[in-house]
Amino acid sequence: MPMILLKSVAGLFAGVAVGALSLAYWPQIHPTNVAARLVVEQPQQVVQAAPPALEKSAVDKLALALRDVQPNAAPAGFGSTRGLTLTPTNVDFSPPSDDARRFRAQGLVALAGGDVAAARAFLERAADAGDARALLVLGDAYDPATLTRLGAVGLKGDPSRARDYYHRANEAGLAAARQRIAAYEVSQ
Amino acid sequence: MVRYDHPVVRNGKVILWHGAWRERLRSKDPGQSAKIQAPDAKDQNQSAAVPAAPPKPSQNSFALLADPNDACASRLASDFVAAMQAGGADGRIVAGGVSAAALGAAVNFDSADLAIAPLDALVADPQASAAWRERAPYIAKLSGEPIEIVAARDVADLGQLAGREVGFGVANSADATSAAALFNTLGVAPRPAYEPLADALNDLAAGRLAAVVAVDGRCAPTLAQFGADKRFHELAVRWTPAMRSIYAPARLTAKERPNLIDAAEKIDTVATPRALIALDAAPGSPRAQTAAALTKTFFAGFDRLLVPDKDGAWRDVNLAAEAPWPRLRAAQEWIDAAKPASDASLQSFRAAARSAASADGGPAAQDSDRLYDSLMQWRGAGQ
Repeated sequence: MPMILLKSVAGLFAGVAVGALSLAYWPQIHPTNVAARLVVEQPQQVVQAAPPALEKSAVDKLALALRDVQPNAAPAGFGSTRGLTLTPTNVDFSPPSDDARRFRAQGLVALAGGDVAAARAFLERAADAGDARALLVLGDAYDPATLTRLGAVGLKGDPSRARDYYHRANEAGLAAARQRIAAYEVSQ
Repeated sequence: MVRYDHPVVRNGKVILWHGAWRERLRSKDPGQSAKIQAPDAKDQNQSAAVPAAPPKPSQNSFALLADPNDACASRLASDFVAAMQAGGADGRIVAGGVSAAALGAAVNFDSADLAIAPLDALVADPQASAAWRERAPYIAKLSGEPIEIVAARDVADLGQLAGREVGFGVANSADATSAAALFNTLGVAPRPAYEPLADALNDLAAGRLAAVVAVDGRCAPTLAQFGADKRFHELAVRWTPAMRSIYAPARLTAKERPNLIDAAEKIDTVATPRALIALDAAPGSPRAQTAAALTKTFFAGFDRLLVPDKDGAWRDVNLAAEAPWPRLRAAQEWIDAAKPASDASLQSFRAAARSAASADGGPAAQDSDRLYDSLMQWRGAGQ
């Protein structure tokens, strides 16, 4: 019996020693740097595309796990712009073409002039051509609060379409889309 | 140009008295009837023989000119009159052409107070509208309708229509006006055939026309039923920067045209907006005052047009939307009063947009990020 007790105490000491050594030599994480790398505005693929065999649900779990370990992660909710951006693999990450950018520019000009119907048409064309920023502006072009601030008269907007475009912009990697979604959730 | 309060005399007979039915203007000034004279002494006796004007409408009454061949415009006109009547105005629809020539005639001959006209009739040919531009200010820019060009399947693109006969709709109609303006912009010169849409589609089916242009396809059951034998299709119209002052891109799918578009296909085209304009309402004129009163009734009661039994196109209208055409001053003042005050960042966004729009060729790809950043700055400032 004393022998068993002695072995247990020795094992305990050995475990503590190994744990201490592990902590001492574990590479340090610099939270701020990690967060800064992960904040993106342009649609960029922060997490590399998953191998074909990896299911999307597994990628989602990985993203959630990584987000959870971010020391500087903002409180839960879409308002956080610090979270990891995970983009579905079916979205084209390539930079928008000149045609898409020209349509976006034309849409923004129309929006500034109050021609919201034309702005939506131009922006839809840009979004169809793969311009993620056009999705965010499309959300604004349907957002009743934005339209009011823009000086629209008589035009009511469409909250559900605005939210849908904001979600699509978020999926495409635009951090600003999360702010819009958060603002929507607060206003509901 | 003839003043609307003067009779037109030919061979000693008064053949037209502009504004004769518009007694309300004279009733405001009882002495005005006595002031109206024939142009010269020789015709004074004839002027006395001018028949009495018909029963006159009230001060807040109006006549709205709309193209009877444009089913969508007719529907908008009907909605407009109903909404105005609910607001206390007394209106009626007058059928007529909406080409630049027809609108110019409407301005000069005082055939209506207001008109629903395609914007390309106003701006596509500045020379044609220069004489009456200031006298036909717009009140509001209305939503656009896609221009549809239907052709046999062996016609692959618009270029193949050069020199061939194409149905443009009735002369002076919205279809004819937009078709002419569009082909002019594209640099393609087909031979126009002027006939109603139903007849034109029959001629297309019989091979007598190469294509048919329709602007009011959304409201035209004739077009919806056409092409069940799958021999025809919609031609694509590619939007180019040269179209930027008038047209916006639009897209047609099989949902709208199951007979003419395959299920997985999307056809790009362009949409031409309409505008509500005041006729013969030059700044400072009595008609401008009448138009101002009607504008106030229209704007104040605009929500009556946003209910389900009215055309859905009203729900896309921003009364504050700008058009490349003079606006009725009273309309602009009403909108300015209704708008919230704009902050510095919004003004900065608008200035950036104006700068990009004024460049040769319009906004370019490289302007997109600058404008986007400007918009984001404004949006951020408000949160």
